Amino acid sequence: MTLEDCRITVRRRTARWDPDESVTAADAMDFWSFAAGAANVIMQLARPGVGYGVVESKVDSGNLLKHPWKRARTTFQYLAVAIIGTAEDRAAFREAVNGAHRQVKSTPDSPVRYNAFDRDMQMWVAACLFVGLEDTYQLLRGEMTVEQSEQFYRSAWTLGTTLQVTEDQWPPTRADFDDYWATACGQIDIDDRVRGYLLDLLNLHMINPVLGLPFRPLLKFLTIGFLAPVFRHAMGVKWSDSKQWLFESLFLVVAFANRFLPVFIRQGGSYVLLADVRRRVRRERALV
Amino acid sequence: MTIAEWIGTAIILAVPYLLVGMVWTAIAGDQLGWHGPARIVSILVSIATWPVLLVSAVCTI
Repeated sequence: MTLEDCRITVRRRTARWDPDESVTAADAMDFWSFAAGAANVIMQLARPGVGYGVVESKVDSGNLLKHPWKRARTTFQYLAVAIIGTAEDRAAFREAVNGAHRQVKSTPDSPVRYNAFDRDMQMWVAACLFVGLEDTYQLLRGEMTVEQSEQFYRSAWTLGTTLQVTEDQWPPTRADFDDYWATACGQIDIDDRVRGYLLDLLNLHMINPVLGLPFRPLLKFLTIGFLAPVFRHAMGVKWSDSKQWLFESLFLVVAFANRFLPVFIRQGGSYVLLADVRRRVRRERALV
Repeated sequence: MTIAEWIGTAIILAVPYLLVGMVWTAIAGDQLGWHGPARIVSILVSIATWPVLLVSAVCTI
């Protein structure tokens, strides 16, 4: 499998304003990045072990289709904790996620063997999160230099190491990650059951139709736009050159507007979510 | 902050400020004197300096 199959291709993107600046994954926490959220869920669940782990999960409180707003909060809080949180924040969140993950393991009736503590599966999920952050970051701020890509990549390892992924599981360089990703994408397989779950998400069946209907076309457009060809094929969704042109044009406009937004607006949401995590820890309330 | 972010911040703060100024001028604009081009200037000044005019209006009640 080639990188063109498993990463999105963007021909027109905003120019880089700071080619000599050092970068970190924290710079990618602008709220626009959440536009790629549903695409990232699809990428993660495209691996059967993750897909069935989520679809068959008995942890109702974390079920995206039953408690979508809570799940959105905990997912974005995980990202905030992993990327901009302290070691103490990460330890607290790891403990909370471990509690939920202990209940996520396959049964004799499961068509796929899975266990939420499987470090390879967690590495896949972390890799998906990294790909999502890198894609959105480069759409908003322009293509990184090789050196910046390396800095960005290294700073994103906490996406996995916050849970059970170890540092030596991450491919050592950004170029090595491409090899890992191309190989790992060879293992994706979305069957009808997981596809049905993901289509429910994409059609916003889990939220009030009055709220969901107006946003459904935009969510589908953004989600399919953020999916690489291999995932689009697995999901059975269509994309076209004209939609790609529209997608790139949209992000050229968004990237321009984003230049003018101060950081407290672009990333304030993530800091509020992180503050909520700390408040919950202080008051000994459930994190997930 | 970058220069672009300062410009964006200024716009974000200026838009509600000027909107309030326009509402204030529309409501209390009958205090504005003058006619012709001078009236346009007085409207613009009223939009831009509405907090001062508000204070003076309150103090003269």
